[in-house]
Amino acid sequence: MPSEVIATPAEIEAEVLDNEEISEAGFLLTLGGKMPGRGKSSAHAKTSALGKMPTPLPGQFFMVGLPREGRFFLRRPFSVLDFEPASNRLQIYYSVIGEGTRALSRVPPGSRLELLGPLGRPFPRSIGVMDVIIGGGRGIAPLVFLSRTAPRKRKTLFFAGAGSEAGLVFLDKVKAGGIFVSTDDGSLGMKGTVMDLLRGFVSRTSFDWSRSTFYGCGPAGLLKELHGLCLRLNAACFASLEARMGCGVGVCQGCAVKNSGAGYSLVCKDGPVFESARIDWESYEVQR
Amino acid sequence: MEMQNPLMLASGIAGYGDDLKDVVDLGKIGAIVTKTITIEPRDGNVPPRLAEAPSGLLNSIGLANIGCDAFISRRLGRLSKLKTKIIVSIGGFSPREYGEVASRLENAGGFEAFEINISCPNVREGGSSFCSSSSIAGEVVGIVRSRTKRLVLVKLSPNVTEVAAIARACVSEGADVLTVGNTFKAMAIDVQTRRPLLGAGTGGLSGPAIKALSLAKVWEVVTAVKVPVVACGGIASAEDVLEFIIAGATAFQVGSACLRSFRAPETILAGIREYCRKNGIGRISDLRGTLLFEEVRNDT
Repeated sequence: MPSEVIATPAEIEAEVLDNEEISEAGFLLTLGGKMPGRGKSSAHAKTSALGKMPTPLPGQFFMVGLPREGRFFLRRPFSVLDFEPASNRLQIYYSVIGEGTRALSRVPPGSRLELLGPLGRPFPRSIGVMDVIIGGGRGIAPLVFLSRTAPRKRKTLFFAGAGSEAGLVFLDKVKAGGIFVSTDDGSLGMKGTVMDLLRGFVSRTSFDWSRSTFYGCGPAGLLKELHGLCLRLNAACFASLEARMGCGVGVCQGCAVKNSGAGYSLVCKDGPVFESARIDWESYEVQR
Repeated sequence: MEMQNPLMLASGIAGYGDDLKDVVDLGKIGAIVTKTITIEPRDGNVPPRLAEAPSGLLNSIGLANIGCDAFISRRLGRLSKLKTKIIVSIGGFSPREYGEVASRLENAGGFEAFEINISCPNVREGGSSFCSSSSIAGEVVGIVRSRTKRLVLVKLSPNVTEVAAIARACVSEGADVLTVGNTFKAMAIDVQTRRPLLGAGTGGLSGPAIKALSLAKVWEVVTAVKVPVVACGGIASAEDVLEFIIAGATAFQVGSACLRSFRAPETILAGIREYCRKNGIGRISDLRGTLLFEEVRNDT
């Protein structure tokens, strides 16, 4: 498997270039990164040359600080939708699900936010003949990034599901041999869940699925069902998890998820992408 | 113990000593307190272990740690290369355990001092009771004192009626320095699910939300004992540090502030230097205990 360079995470002062609502409660945040250079006080020794954000890999995330004037304290972790090294531009897609994300959605262009990243283990390169990518809701975003970085000859199928058509975001950016969609309300594609869509496709298609690699990102229920399906198909399966986070770098141990075996794993450092067999999905569903 | 500056990273934010080396210039930090080490490894509490609170956070990590033997064999050896001073935090669920951890670490060597954690409120068995009783706290300190020649700090819990009494007991049993203090017991509830936000139910509150509370505890301890006091609790800026120094603290710890930015320690140090420069103060220690106040005590 070819290995890609995982950049050392850094504290980044990011400028909000855009913060646009593009679907119901879904926002596209575009950031320009700025790494502080060595100032007179040489207070920032752990940063790179001025202007260069470290390059994230698909599956990685950034901790994003909310405006300091507010009452919010913890940074929020968000997966990367896209990163353009040439223009040093980072894009994140997030849903407003609580007070913190609501506050983030009101941050205007020109504001500065404190980021830490890139963090976490990226989606591993697949082995086998095909990639099957399954995204639900905001989970679609990091998978779009994944699809765009696959080797050119790679066969890829992309399955996306959302509550309604508005939630099926960035499908025009997906690079895949086939794109299949479902919506809970039937406004686009199949009416039903994306796992129903996937299971239907798998059952109708004669193929040795054990030679595929499955990648999933979305609600806990989706990931649990995907794991179950891949067990039956004897296929490799990687899932990207979410958790409330503290430090984002693996020291505070706040973002633990229960393993299927003994102990816990840290979503920020051991994940966010995990082999699906590693996780105790019952516990994860309750936790989320 | 000589530190290049009075800033320490608090237990729980810096892992086992060098975990933050990619995001913090550890060479600029006066001292680092490790995650609390217990005799046996501990997995930690049922998640979720974090919940946000206004201007802070609740945690119930549950003393998750790799255990004493793994720390000694896999992590301790890496730390002597660091310019910063290493303080190992130790915990236990009986006085005997505290003594055992202290002995094993003392034999291993490679660090400056111990910080005895008697104050974690998250763990069911034993944790809270050590910190809230003068006699039990004193017993733990006494046992550790007997096992080491190193500097002994004791991190006190603020979840007591009179922290000064606990402080005096610890000092009389041999504590060299007191860290004031740990997190405040706290809770948060999800009104949709009607479940606590933390898997363990309650946790410890930290961050700017507790600064004013911690300051009062530091003041209480400083006026009760003669040993140096290390301030801990809600420090996020140079100005916060100055408040604690003026109240009488000798050094200070920063923990939760790093969650907003790992540049917080350096920013705070730069702010202190700037303040001293602007106000013609030679050393920050010149300000120690210079609070202008005479407490009127009513005899009842």
